[in-house]
Amino acid sequence: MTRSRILSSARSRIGVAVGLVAFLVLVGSGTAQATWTTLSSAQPATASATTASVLLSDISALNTTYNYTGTTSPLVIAPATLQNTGGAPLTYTLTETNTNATLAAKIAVWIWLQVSGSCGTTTVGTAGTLAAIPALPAGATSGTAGQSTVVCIATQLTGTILASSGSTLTANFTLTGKVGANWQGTDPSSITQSVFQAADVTNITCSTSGHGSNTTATVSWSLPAGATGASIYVGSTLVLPDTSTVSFTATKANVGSATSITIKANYASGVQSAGVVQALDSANGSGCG
Amino acid sequence: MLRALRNHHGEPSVRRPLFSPVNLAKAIGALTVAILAGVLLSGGTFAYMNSTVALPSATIKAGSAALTTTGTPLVLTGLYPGQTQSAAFTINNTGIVPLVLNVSGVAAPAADANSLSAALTIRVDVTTAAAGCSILPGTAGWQGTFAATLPTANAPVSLNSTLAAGATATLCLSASLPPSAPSTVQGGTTKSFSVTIGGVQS
Repeated sequence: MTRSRILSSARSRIGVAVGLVAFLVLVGSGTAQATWTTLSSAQPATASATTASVLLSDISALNTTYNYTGTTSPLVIAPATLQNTGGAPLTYTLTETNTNATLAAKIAVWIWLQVSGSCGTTTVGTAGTLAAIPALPAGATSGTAGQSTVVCIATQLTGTILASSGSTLTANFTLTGKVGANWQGTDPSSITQSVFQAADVTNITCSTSGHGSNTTATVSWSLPAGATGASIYVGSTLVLPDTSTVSFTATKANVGSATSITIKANYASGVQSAGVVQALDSANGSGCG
Repeated sequence: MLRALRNHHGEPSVRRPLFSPVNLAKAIGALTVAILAGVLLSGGTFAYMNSTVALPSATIKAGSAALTTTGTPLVLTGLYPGQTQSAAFTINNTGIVPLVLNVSGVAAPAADANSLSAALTIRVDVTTAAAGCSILPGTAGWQGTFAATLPTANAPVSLNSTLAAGATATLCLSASLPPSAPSTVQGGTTKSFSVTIGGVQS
């Protein structure tokens, strides 16, 4: 064994020995530690979600047939209950669609919060129309779970009956209650409103008799259902305001040179039909035209 | 061309290795003694006066760390978008050491018909009996969805609250639905899920 190999072997042993000793010293001098841990038994649970749902009460009290004289109808007023039938607080909106845009635009609508348990006889707030109903009033725009809120709805036809005579529409109201981005409940309620049909007289006949200046025309008609009588106009002059007789004899004496008479049916509400015109031949007396 | 070495008597001699096994053993022994002595002497103090007294016989018994819950199932009802429902439960430290509480496990529920559990956010907070769960801390002790990585015994989430030995803590388990919760979860009920509270000796 050469001297260099002997030296190398000795140094290796020294290195191993020193390392071993140092390890033993350091390990032996360390502090022993123990940390206790524990777990509880599992705490069970379940969770459930509620629903968003609403109820719009029957508002059929707003069903009506407008039948009036003048240029605006009486108010039709009815309460409507907005009820939150779900378990979440909801934000409300009330929307409406209808089947007759022309008539809807002539029907004014008011919605206001009911107080003291009554809607009264006058409107509150700003009017819209059935073509664009007003928004729900303050105090009726939201509801907590189970809460009921009563609003009053009023409608009124504007313009004369004859302007909308015989028109009708169905208005579909929908109450929507929302919570969050995707939860909502809806409930519809519909009404039907019509305008009185002021029908004219029917079955008009005209017969001429006599000669020359004594020529006369006898005009006859039938009253429509519901009519109480007829008004006779010679030209534009009312000569018989309301007669239940269903004929009129035109003579030179009572019509003069007028070339027509108009018969309008009268109804109990005061509404008068548009009228039917019967032409006259005034060249020789008053024969049928 | 080596020349034989001779001692002072002029006799030829064999040169010994620098560290013979004997010397090496001696060196190791000396080093060991030196280091041990150094380590032992470097720490602690020593009292030169001492006395002894005989103690009566005693039994040494190991302590324990233990937590118990009330265990009564919690029912969180009436959830809707943007809303949180909470219920309180108690944890009792029945061991002998104070414990730092953590959430050591959340067992997700099985799928429900309305997929409500998929929309829920769950949180666990330490509160006080007086405060209850009506007002939760601004920062949740632990909060997450069942779809996220849930705490486990090996990866607990600290509740940053220490419960003294023998003491009872009130915790809140909460469930909430985000404002964007889908409509389909309406009326749904989850299957049972659970939370396990752990404690680490403080």
